[in-house]
Amino acid sequence: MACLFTQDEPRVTGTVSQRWNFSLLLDVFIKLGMRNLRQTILAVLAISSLALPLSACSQESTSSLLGYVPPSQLSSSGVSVTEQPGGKAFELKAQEGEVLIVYFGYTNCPDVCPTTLVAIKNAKKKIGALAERVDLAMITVDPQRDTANILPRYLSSFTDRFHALIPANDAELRSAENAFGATSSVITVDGKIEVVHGGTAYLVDDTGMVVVQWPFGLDSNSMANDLTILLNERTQTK
Amino acid sequence: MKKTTKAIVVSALSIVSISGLAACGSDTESADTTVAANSTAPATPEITVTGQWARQSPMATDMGAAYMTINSNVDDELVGAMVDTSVAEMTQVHETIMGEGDSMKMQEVKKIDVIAGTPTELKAGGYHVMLMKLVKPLELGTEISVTLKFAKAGDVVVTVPILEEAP
Ligand SMILES: [Cu+2]
Repeated sequence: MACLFTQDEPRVTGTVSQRWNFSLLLDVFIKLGMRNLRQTILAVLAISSLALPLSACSQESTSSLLGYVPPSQLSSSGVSVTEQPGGKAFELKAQEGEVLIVYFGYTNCPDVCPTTLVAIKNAKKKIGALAERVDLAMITVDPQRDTANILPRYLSSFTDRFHALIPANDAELRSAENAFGATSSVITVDGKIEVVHGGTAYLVDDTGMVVVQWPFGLDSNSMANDLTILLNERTQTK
Repeated sequence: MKKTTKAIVVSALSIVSISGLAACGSDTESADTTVAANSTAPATPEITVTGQWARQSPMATDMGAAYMTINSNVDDELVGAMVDTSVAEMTQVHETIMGEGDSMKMQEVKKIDVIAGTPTELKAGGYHVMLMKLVKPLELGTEISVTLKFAKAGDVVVTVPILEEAP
């Protein structure tokens, strides 16, 4: 039974494919359970024989994602933000077989944003050649100040592979945020600019699906763990 | 003026480190052993700062942040911070606060309570000394001098190394 509980625990979960298998089985269980008791028992037996080896209960702790796997599917497929320099639309999804980290922030943020960006930088250092398949897109929530002159230079101090995304208008920013359930605001209070933004980094696959979310404060070892799992999964399924 | 404060801080540091040694192995509060010499007089406020660092400022931004752990032998308050104008034009004490969901924002705080015997941490995602309008980028491997202002202990000057992440 402990296995059933881990499925509800957001932090420690199985890989994405394991979760899928489990919810499919749960569906079968519920449908069969409605008919009669004998079939319900058969379904329970089927689940215990199939779900156990697949579930996150196995001893290999290394196979678990340490970020948060969103319970409902989030997808940024088809959502684009203007990339600078160049001004072309960048679609928020990874290249084939890769992972794209999407982060909402602003450059005048010396506390939260660099903490996450440095952790990402160090996580990439820890995964060797896999790091070549990790891309980063930072969407500024403060496009008034973070111009094409500033954001790319800011990002280049953390990584050499990035996309500096500067929303051309408010609608563009909001549609990107909506895809992830993110919010932000920039207001002026007593002449001071006050920026509110989310601290989460979203990992998106090559279909635009959010496969895991990293909350603020997740360390580089945990990030390296998640990247390794996600990238290896993508190699195997190819 | 600056030299005297530095001297006081240095002597304060050595007093605290000696008292720290003296308290080793004892189950009672270290205050009992150190104040024994003049037990009637109230303890002189002494501040020790450890683990201090300031974040290397990325190119293209003129904001910086400094972090540290503050220890005091008496209840005190950090009421402000200062750096030389050759480093940054303005220095404030800030807190990053969490709002709804994962939302975060920084705001200035008037003071941070420092409780005697309890380390007060200034760290990423919480309290920090905010360096605004940096005159030049904070370069890895260099140091800056930060003056912390306490309600009781007065000015405490700390040498802060520039690092990429917390030591
Ligand atoms: Cu701040």
